[in-house]
Amino acid sequence: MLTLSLILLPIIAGLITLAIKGETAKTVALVFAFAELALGAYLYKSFVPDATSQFGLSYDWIHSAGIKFSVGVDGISLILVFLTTLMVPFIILSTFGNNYKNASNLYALILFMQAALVGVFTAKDVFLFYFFFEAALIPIYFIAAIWGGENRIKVTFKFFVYTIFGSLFMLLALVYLYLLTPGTHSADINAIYEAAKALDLSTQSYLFGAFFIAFAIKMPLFPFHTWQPDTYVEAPTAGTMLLSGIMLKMGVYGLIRFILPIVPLGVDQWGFVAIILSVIGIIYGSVIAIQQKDMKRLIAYSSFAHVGLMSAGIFSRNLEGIQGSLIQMLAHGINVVGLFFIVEIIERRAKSRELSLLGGITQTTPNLTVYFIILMLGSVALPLTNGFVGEFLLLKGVYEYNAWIGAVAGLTIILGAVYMLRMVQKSMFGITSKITEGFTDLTFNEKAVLFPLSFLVIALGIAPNIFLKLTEPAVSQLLSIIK
Amino acid sequence: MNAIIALSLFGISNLFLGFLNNRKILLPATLVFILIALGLNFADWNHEYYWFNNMLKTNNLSVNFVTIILLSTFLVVAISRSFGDDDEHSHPAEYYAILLFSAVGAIMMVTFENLIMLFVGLEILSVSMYVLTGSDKRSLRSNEAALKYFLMGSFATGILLFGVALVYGATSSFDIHGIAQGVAKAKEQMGGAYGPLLYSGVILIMVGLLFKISAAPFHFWTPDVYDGAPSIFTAFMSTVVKTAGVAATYRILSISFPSVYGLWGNPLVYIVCATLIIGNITAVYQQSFKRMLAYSSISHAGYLLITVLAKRPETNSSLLFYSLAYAIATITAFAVLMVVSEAQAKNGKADESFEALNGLANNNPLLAFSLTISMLSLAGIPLTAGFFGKFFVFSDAFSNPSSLFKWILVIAILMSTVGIYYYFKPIIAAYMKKGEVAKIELSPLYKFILILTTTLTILLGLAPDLVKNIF
Amino acid sequence: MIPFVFIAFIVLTVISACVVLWSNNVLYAAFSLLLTFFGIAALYVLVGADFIAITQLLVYVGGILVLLLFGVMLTNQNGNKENGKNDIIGTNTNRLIGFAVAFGLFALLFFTFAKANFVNIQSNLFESIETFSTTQNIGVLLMTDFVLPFEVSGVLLMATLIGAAYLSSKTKV
Repeated sequence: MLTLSLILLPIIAGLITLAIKGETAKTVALVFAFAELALGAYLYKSFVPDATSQFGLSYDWIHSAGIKFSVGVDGISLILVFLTTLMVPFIILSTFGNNYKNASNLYALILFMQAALVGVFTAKDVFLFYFFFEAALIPIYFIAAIWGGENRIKVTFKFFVYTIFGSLFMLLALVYLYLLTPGTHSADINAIYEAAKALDLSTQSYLFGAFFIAFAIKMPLFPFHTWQPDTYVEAPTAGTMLLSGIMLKMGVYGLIRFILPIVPLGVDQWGFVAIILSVIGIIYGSVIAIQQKDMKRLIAYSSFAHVGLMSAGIFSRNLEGIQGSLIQMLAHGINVVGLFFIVEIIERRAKSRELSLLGGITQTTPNLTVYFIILMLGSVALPLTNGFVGEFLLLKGVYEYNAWIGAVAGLTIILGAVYMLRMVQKSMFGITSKITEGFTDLTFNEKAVLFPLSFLVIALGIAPNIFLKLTEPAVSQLLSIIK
Repeated sequence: MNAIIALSLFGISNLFLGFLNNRKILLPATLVFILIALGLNFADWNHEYYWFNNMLKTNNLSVNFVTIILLSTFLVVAISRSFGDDDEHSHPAEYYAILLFSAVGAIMMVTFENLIMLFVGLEILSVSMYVLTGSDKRSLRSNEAALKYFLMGSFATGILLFGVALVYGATSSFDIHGIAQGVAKAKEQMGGAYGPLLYSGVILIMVGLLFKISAAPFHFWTPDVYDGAPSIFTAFMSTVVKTAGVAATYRILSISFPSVYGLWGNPLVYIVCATLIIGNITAVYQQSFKRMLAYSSISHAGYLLITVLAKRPETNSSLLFYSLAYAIATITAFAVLMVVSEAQAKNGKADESFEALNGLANNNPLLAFSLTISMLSLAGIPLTAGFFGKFFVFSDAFSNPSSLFKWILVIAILMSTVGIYYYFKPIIAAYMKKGEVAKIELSPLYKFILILTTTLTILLGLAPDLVKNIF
Repeated sequence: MIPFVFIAFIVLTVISACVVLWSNNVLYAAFSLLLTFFGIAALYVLVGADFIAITQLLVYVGGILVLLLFGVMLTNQNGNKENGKNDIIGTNTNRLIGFAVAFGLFALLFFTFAKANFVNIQSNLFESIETFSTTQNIGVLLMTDFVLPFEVSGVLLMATLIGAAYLSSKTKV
């Protein structure tokens, strides 16, 4: 029941927000988002740290096809549901400084997207998963295409078609597995796990390819990443936060939930290729990020680099790798939402995101500087920040898989430091330029977003076990399935 | 069967009603007539019966198809806006009468048990559509479309009739179950191979029927005819005629000729692939919304034929669900097209290009939203009925053990992706391009129909079991 | 004797059909169509379908062809002048495709009928024609077994009538 209400509440909230015109739409949406966060916190509190799937419920959806509307939360889903419910209020709050046309539509779409995202992370029926996976695309497409930047039409359309094309392969793979389940087929994920045990290597390789393409496009991984920088830049900041903060985690979640347990032989065979691609992505993304002049694009490429490390950790298939990716997902979500918000703040005041035109902002904005530096250090993975926990576990996992790859992946820390520090230095320090003179400090709304995020960066860095404890049993069970 | 009698009588009543000076009564009267026919249709539920010496057979499958046909007719009549109440050039009574008669023909095409009834039903449907296509007498395109449709349609009917004659020669029966027995007997007599009479007959019947549903390579008439006909009749053509045609094709192929599957299955594979590819790829290049919808209807005929080809026990319900989803979405699209193209008319001619839709969402949110949902449904995006329609069709094809179907599926999926491109053009034009469309006044009935179809599409997209259990 | 008559009527029909297609004068074409219909009626008689032959004469020749002649004579403005150009046949590629399709159809039909096992042909057909008329049987069947198509054709005719009346009514431009 709790899971269902987590999905239904944003839908109802979205419908109500649609009906409200004018300024109050913002507040209504925010209130509902906090209500959802309260539900998420309650979920977290009442979660029992074992390997079972809890708060589950299951209705017959398409009876003739054996497809059920079946949702439930286990350790892996918990952290992602928590991420979603945590980030959306901040995302909504971050839009308060902007004046969007037809704002109630925007907030309704954000809430619908939240419902779809929670659905993806809690679905226990593979077709329900696919349904939510695709359904999440519709709100973000409209958010990016209606309220986005200059070039948005072509860019968002490319994003939409590219992603759907990839997920069609996944649909084929799911239908194939569904037809393998005995008797009147069932799409329940455990049944699929059972059916998949009987597959031979070549089938598993095909299925691996199908799943991999879908998730690799979503995350993105090299070389399927060409849609990402443009879409992140053209979307409005709220859209970019949704995309990089939560939506790309759908791909990573898919890797954990589908690829590892269903096609372990395929992973044995092809996982090496996947790791190589991920690591190439890390290096490539970081190197390009170093050369970026546009702050938003820089952070987009850094996101691309971070996700490469997460995926490499997962394909290393050990406890540290997967745990690391889970905690890194949470950490990266928090960091990247904060970073994009700061870019938004700078753009609001100075009307530009070009690093060469900015500088010396810190002279008038002590608050902004502090938060920016904290979030930046979290992204760089300094010890005592949340990023450190994630990256350390991930690198350890990858290193255990293969020491050389681990060493190359470790370059991410150095490269990350380079582009992040460069960004902060160029924009915040130095002499003020024409556009950054008279840069006012943070308003209350902006502080209300940045302070909790920065707090979380440090809090999670100091005490990551609050989450790690909860996810560990589920991850161990997953690994045992693979064996 | 009772629906056939009722609709014929009501058609004539419409003509008489046309004598009255009051034109406003025609639209509600026709809607009431269709609802009565629908009610009579439901009375046949769970009541399998052969009528008039095995001429027609009503069973649950036919009741469902007739429901879809009458529902589409109802929606088309509802959005017809009385064909212009004050326009003295229009003859609404004749139009409604002919529409009701063509519904009669369509019903006969889905309930036939004897090939003569198939032919008569097909003729009634076709002749009515020839007339309605040419009904805009002042437009040259309409005249051209009517002539093209008439010439090619008559030819196709002639080919169908020849095929029927050859099949009769091979099996000495017109009754479709009798033909199945005749085919089996012919197999015994000739020891495995069938005679050329049967082969040619089956192929010719199939060609005749495939022409009607505009499968490639028999689709060349479709774009010009759909484009030239008045939009309201195009809406009727692309839903009712296609549903009736596919139902008739499925009926005859699955009851009479399942044992010669190798004969008609192989050409049908190529036809399906050609239809999907030609329909989708040419639609990408269209500049006119109406023509794009015409090509998209060609591609949807392809998807429907996939499940006819797959010959699974679930084909019945997949066909019905897909037809329903497709009919509702197409009618919504045409409804929006009709009002917008007239509102944006240039030089007295309605503007049917995509540019006419620019900026639709600014002043007409309901129209833009309905258009978006119908386009998403036609493209097969989740959350809409069209997604489940495609899903059921694809899982039918997937369940068929023959490896040929894997290739057909790949082509179908690739073409679906191509379809997303041109189905998004109207959505992008409505929401994201700059333009001005003045607020269009819609009658309450029109708004009701738009809301009804949009809600139905989303509802079926979330809970397809509501109707799938019935099907 | 009978086969000779058969072949004579076939030749008549085919030649008249060719004249219909290729003649430059519409009036000649219309009259050749008359001959074609006569030939087909004769072929029906030779096969033993007497009712169909009479119907062919009554309906096609007496009804349709007369209407056609009325239409031709009332609208033929060129009178007896010869039109050198024939605009209908078209360009060379179209001719080629037309030939190919026609040839394909002919090949299909030829092989079908050549290989077909025609059974149930009564050898005493021509003797039995004199004593056995199909008219009564057709009449009975139309009113008992096939009554539904018979009545529903009424709907078809109705739709056609309405359509024809509407399409040819005066339009206010």
